[in-house]
Amino acid sequence: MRGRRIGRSMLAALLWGALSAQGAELPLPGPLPLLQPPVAAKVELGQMLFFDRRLSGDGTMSCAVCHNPEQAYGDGRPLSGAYPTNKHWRNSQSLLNLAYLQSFFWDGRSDSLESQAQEPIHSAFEMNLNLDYLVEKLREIPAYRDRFRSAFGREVDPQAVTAALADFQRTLVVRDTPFDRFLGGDRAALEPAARRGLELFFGRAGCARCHSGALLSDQQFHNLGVAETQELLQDPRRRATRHFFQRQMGLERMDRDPGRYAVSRDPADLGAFRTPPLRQVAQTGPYLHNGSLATLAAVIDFYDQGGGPGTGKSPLLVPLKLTAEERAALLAFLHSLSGTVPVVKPPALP
Amino acid sequence: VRLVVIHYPYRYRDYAALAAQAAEAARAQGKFWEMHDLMLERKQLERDHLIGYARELGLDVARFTRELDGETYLERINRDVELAKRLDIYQTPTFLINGRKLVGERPFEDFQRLIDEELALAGSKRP
Repeated sequence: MRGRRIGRSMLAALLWGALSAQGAELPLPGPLPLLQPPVAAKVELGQMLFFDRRLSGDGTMSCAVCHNPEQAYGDGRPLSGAYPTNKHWRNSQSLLNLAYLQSFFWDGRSDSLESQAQEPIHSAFEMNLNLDYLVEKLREIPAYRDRFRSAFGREVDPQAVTAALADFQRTLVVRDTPFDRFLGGDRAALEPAARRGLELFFGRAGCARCHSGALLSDQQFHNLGVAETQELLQDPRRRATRHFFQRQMGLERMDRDPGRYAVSRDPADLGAFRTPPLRQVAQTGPYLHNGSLATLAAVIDFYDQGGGPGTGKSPLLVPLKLTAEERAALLAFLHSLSGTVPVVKPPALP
Repeated sequence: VRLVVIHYPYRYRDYAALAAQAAEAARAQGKFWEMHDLMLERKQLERDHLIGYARELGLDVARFTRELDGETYLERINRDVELAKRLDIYQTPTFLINGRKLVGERPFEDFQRLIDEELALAGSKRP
């Protein structure tokens, strides 16, 4: 064992020597920091609530339905699942590494995980339950009452429910990918194709202009010119949920996704969405806010063409004229962003 | 590939259980999928609509109506609902492909990938 380990580190040193000249100019971020873990009792409680179908009006939906642990905490569908008989209008995002984010939802309309957690519970087309009513139901379940008392030192209230859900989600971190090991100094962690992809990502392809920093997100809002899908334009139930959202946000009905505009009211933000972080991205398709790109290869082609045909597109997007080999290298790099997804089994519920 | 349909009528829509029974009544006359497709296409699921579909499909309407009104297949539907609950399934549609779960309407490719993987696995197990 010992001999093998020494052999590997020597090999790593040799490779680093060969690549450092080429890599010297790459503006690479530092490693993703280790965060303070939340209090275990709150996490356990949050995990129970996350899997509990009592959080929905009809008892069929838990958070885990659309944020499935087996699908990198997304649901693998182009457009998210919805409350029965409804159809959602946006893609369900992975919950991985939310602990590092400052805003939540595709349009960043929430500034904390605690406030974010209220919205799917309340949403008429997601879980369709009133949070205050949920609190009263939980107060009638002795096991929950006890757990809230010991985790929060008080009776069940809306703030404790959302805090527990938020703390559970803060534990869903992936930071052991080959890319993370590379950032941590293990220059052999990336295979040659992924290493070439990394150089493109942080170099000529310009991905890191938005997918920047250790998280691979600048947490800013950008318009990629993504085309509206026929399904969103034509399906009456998807039209209804989209228009309902717009009216709830105080907007006029429009047959497009308002994006960040719903929050900022800056017309320049129409169709702009927060750059998603990219850990585990190989497992989080379909991609984009409307799920219109099924595979990572399609995503790379999309950027290679300079983004979509929509109006108001970011000037950062220009055709890249990537070779087939470069596209393959970028794909290899995106696959190097996969690590160990926290395994969370549905807990026993009271 | 063998497809098994388990009914899971949404409990807060009274026509859902009726439609499930109508599908079974059509199956008794060999026209399950025809009825299934017609119900999804027309999206009207009250009793009279269902009887209309039976007529349209050339079923024995007297028998179909008798079985529908007599709740002949209700017990079968309830058994399916109990099975779904035991499997912790609450969403429709949910697909179990050799035990691997897919929830919700999905693109054709999702099924193709899973089924091909499972077929390859089954093939490799053959002596």
